[in-house]
Amino acid sequence: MKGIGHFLTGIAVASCFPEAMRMTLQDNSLILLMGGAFGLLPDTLDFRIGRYLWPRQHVVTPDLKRLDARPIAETVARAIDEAAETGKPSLVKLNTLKVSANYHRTYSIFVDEERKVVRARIGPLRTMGQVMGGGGHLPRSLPIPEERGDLEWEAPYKADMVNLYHAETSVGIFSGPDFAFVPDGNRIRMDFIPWHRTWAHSPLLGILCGILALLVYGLIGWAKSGDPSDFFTTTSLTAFGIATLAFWGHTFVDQFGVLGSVLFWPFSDRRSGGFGWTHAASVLGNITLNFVCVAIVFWNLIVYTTEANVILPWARGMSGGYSDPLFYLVSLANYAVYYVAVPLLILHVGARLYRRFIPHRGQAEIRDEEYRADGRKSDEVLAESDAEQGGEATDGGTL
Amino acid sequence: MEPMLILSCLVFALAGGLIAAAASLIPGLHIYNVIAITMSILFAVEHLFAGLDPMLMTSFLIGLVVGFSLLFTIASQYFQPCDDSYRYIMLPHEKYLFEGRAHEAVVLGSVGALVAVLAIGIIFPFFGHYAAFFRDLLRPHLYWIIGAVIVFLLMTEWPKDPGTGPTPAKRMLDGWGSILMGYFCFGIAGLLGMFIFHRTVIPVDSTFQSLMPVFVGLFAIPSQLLTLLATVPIPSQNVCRTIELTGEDVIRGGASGLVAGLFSGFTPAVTPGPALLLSGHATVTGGDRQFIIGGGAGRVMYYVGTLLFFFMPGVFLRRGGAAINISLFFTPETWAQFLTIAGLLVLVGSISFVGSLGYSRLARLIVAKVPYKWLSAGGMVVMIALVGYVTGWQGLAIMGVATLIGIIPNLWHTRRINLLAVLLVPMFLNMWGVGADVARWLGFL
Repeated sequence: MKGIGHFLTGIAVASCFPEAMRMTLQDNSLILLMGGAFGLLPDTLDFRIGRYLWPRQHVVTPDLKRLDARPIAETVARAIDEAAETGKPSLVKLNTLKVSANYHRTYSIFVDEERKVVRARIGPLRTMGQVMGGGGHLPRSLPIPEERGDLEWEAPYKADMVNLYHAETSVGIFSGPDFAFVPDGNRIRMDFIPWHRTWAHSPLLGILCGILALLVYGLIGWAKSGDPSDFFTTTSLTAFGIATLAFWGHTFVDQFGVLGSVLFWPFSDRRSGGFGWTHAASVLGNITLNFVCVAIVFWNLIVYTTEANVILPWARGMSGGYSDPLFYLVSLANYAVYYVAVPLLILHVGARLYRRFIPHRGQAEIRDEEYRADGRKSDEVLAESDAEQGGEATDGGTL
Repeated sequence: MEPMLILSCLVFALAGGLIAAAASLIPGLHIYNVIAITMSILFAVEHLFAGLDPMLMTSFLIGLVVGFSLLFTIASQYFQPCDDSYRYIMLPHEKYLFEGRAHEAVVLGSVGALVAVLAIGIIFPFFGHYAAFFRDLLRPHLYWIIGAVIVFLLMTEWPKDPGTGPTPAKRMLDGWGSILMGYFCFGIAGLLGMFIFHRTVIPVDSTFQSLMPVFVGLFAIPSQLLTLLATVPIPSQNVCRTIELTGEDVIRGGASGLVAGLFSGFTPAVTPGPALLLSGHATVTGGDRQFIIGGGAGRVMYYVGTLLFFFMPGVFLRRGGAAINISLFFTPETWAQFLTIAGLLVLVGSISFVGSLGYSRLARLIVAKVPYKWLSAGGMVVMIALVGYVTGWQGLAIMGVATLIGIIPNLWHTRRINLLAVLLVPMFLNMWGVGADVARWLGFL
């Protein structure tokens, strides 16, 4: 899911702790922000730290002066065979080719497991907005390749492959992708952006984050009163719960996609499969998650912010307030139906009808279920990567 | 309200719209700069307007805001090409200019603006009263909501390097270099904001415009300077008769913009820029068209929609420079006033939408005849003169400091959005309850 969804998940989780809401309203505490921060933390760790620490044995950097697909294909093929021969993972980094601030020379690779070849292709110039550049639109200052090699090349490899990514991988803007070719039984498995959703998404790290939050809030409580018994208070335990659950919330939400995460790090470095209900690039999936999270936060604001003084229709004839369990449950049911379920139903039905009756021009229907699932897996990683790196695309053009 | 008064209001609103159209030709000029100069003139000749109904001047400012919010981006669309040696990436509307499609970008932005105008005109009168509920509900939580925006902006500051360094340490250094420069921009802009909020430097009779030199310095002057330094030619622009646009683009782009406009309207210090960043992520907008439509809708919803809340009985939400300036001489009271304002808004908005098509053609002609550097130089002179006239030499000094800070993101390829710390940091600290303590610690009090 996109970063904002994880951030909102963390805040929604935090808002469900009564002590957190009390602290927010009475002590001007920032504990809800802590939830958001820990909700987003796994991707922050991956994209700000993990990607740099990941080793790379083979680096592909095509020569801009002599465009040639051959060394690209041969390097990737060599990495596959090296993994098979040594029995150890072989790691490849495909560097992007920045031509100017706005133009990149693209290229692509495709691992054809049936024919046992790696196909590389030199692609067009593309802008940062992924628009293909050409003709009179190109700035005159762009460097022109001095000579051209083979613009397409197929390099053979010997090993048997498990390729989960049937789609061609395009290397375009920002930082290029990493691949890991990992021995898996008698075959070589191809992992795309292998540093993503590994240790930084593990539940164990979530517990460590919780302990960190417990330490911070516990020590603050201890320092304020001078009494060591104030280390374990409702506040510090709430901080532990928020940090842990917000972090876990991230991993849990990611599980709704196809890719999954490494759930048992450090005991296993293999990603578990996700539920496959949605993927990170899904518009409806992201909007639904964000809407539900905002709805949860609003519900908790309604319950705890007396200034708003909200009594929902189903609870109008009832005595008591939100501290009364029955009043709370009836109100919650009313809220969930009127303000969460109905709008979401309208959104999903509307989107379905729109897609059914107003098809996109030129959109081919993919019938192969396996291909579609694998394509979604690639989409999922790329969408998160784009979301991480694409902040500038919506950066304050307007103030 | 008397029919004659309503008609007079309409005339004043249209006059405001016309002045907005003229002012919109000056690249870099912001609506609040125009309001600032208008207010200064009004206060200087206050005796001339003493006998007039305050609704008339209010209508004039409404026309000004509505017209400007629909038209002011057209000048920057045509007159401010992006020289990619100073920028990390081009924004979609800048790409359209280089593809000879600036008119198409204007149309897309206007479609977004029209979506917002229709939403404001049709939905607000019926559902606007919910705004009071949200205002009351959110009031005690605004400090952490602004804090959440800050945390999200900082955590999503991303490395701009291509990750090609030979060692992990070198790659980390390359990546974190741009991230840390982004944080530096945020920090130094926040420091400037704390200074402005806690030190009275601007002459007392102009304190209501104390943010003007800061914003001109941080955003407008650096943009004009970069345009002056730019060496790229602007290709001839095509005036298209049709544009490629799907219903999905309008719905998703419009929704993103409306969410951004409403969020920034309800949350102090959060302007449409960061709000669009958040809403774009939240609604997963895709493609250049949705981005431009979202921008148009977000701008109008923020500048115009939020202003309408100020007139809504039971809500009276005073957000943004326009509402603050109007509140200096007018106190809204009745539904009749609200409905009159809403009607004027839709009318001027619709006229501006139609006018934007012709306006775009005019901008196209101008950019074909006059070198864009001359236009930028002219815009810069006008803005500096405005700042000097409204805020004196003190304002010019602040503008100079702000300009130095505003140039940093362009030189270091960091996000300009970090500069909005100038508002976010002091507002957050003040609402959190520690603003004065921090200002004292910094030596500003």
